[in-house]
Amino acid sequence: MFCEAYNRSLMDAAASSELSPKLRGHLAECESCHSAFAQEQSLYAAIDTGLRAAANPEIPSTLLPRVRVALNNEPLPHASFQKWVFVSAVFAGAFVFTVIFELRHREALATTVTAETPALPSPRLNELHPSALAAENSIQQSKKAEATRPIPTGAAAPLTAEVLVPNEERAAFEKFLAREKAPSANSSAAVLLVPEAPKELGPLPAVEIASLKVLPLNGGEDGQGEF
Amino acid sequence: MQEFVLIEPGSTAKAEWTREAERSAIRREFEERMADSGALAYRVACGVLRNDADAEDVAQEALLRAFRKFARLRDRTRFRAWLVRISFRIALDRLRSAKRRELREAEWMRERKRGQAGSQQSSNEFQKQLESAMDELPGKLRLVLLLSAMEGHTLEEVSTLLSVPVGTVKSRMFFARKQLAEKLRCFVKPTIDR
Repeated sequence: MFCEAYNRSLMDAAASSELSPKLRGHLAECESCHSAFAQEQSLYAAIDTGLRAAANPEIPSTLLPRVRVALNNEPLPHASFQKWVFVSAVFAGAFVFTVIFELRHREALATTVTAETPALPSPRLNELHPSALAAENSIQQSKKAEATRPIPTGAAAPLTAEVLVPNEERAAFEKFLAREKAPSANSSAAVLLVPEAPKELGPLPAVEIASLKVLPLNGGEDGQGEF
Repeated sequence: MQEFVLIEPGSTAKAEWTREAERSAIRREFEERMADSGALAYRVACGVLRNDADAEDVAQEALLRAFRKFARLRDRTRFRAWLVRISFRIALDRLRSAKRRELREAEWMRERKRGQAGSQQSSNEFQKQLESAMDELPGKLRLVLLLSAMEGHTLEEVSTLLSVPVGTVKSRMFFARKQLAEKLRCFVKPTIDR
C-alpha cells in the first residue's frame, strides 16, 4: 500500500511513467511505497505487453492482392465524381420541373368557377317502385336547382347592392333612399322583399310492395342451405 | 459550293490517352501508399474487431473507399492518418451489430485457444480480460492506445495520425491506461506473485 500522502501522486506517476525528484526521494525512503510502486509498474508493463500483442497481428498475405483485384473493378475516381454531378443535376432538374408543374396546376384549379356536383350513381334506380322513384326525382331536382345556381365572383358581382327590408319598413326605407341618393354613379340600391321561407318537402308516399314470394334456401326443405 | 470541315483525327484518342495516363498515375501512387499503410488499416480494424476475417474485410473496404476519394485528397502526405480514420470508423460500424459481435468473440476465443495451446493459462486469462476491458473504453481512448502500441508509434506520430495535439494524446493515453489498470489490477497480482 502507498502512504496516504503519496497515494494519488504515485498512482499517477506509475500510469504516466514520469517520476518527479520528490517522489523518487520518497520511494527511496519508504519500503511500503517502493514495493507498491513496483507492483503498479508491473501491472502497466503487463498491460503494455498485452496491448502490443493485440495491436500487432500478422498481416494476412491475401489482403493486398485482394485489394488490387478489387481496384481493377473500380472506376476512375474522377469519373465517379462526374457521375455524381450528373445524377445531382438530373435530380435538381426533376425537382424544379415538379414544382413548376404543381404551381401551374394549382393556378388552373383556382381559376375554375363552375361548381358542378357529379350525378349520384343509382344503379338500382330502375328496380324502385314508381312512388319511390318520384320522390327521388323531386329530391334530385331540388339538388340540381341548388347546384346550378350561379356563384357570384369578383368579376361577375353585380354593382347594385341588394338590401332586404321588411314590408312595414319598406316605405320608410324608400324615402330614406330618395333623400340620401348620392351623386356617385357606381353605387345604387334596390329594395327587395324578404323572400319567404322555403317550402318544406312534402311527406314521402309509403312504399308499396307489389308481391312478396318466400323461397327456401338451396338444399331442400331440411333447412340446411349451402354456404 | 462545297463545305470543308477540318477535324483532328487524333484528338479523341489523345484525350483518351491523357485520361488513361492520369488514371495510371493515380493508381500507381495509391498502390505505393497502400503498400506502406495497408497493414496499419488492417491492424486498426483488428484492434477494434479482434477477428482476422472481419478485419481483412474492413481493411479492404477502407482501402477501396480511400481509392475512390484519393483524387480529392489535397495533401497526399496525410494519407496514412486519413486511412486510419476511415478504417476505424468502418470497424466501429461493424462492431455495433451485437449479434455479430457475439459470434466473433466466440470464434476469436476458439482461435486464441488453438494458437496459444502451450502458453500459460494465467496469461490467456489476463489477455482475455485486457481485451474485454479495451472494449469498454470510449472510442477515442481506445484508438490512441491501439495506435501507440502499433508499429512502435511515438506520441508525436500518434498525434499526427489523429490530427490532435500531443498533449491531447498524452492525456488520453493516461486516462486509458488508468482505466485499464483499475479493471485489471485483480488479475495481475497472481502473475506478479509467481
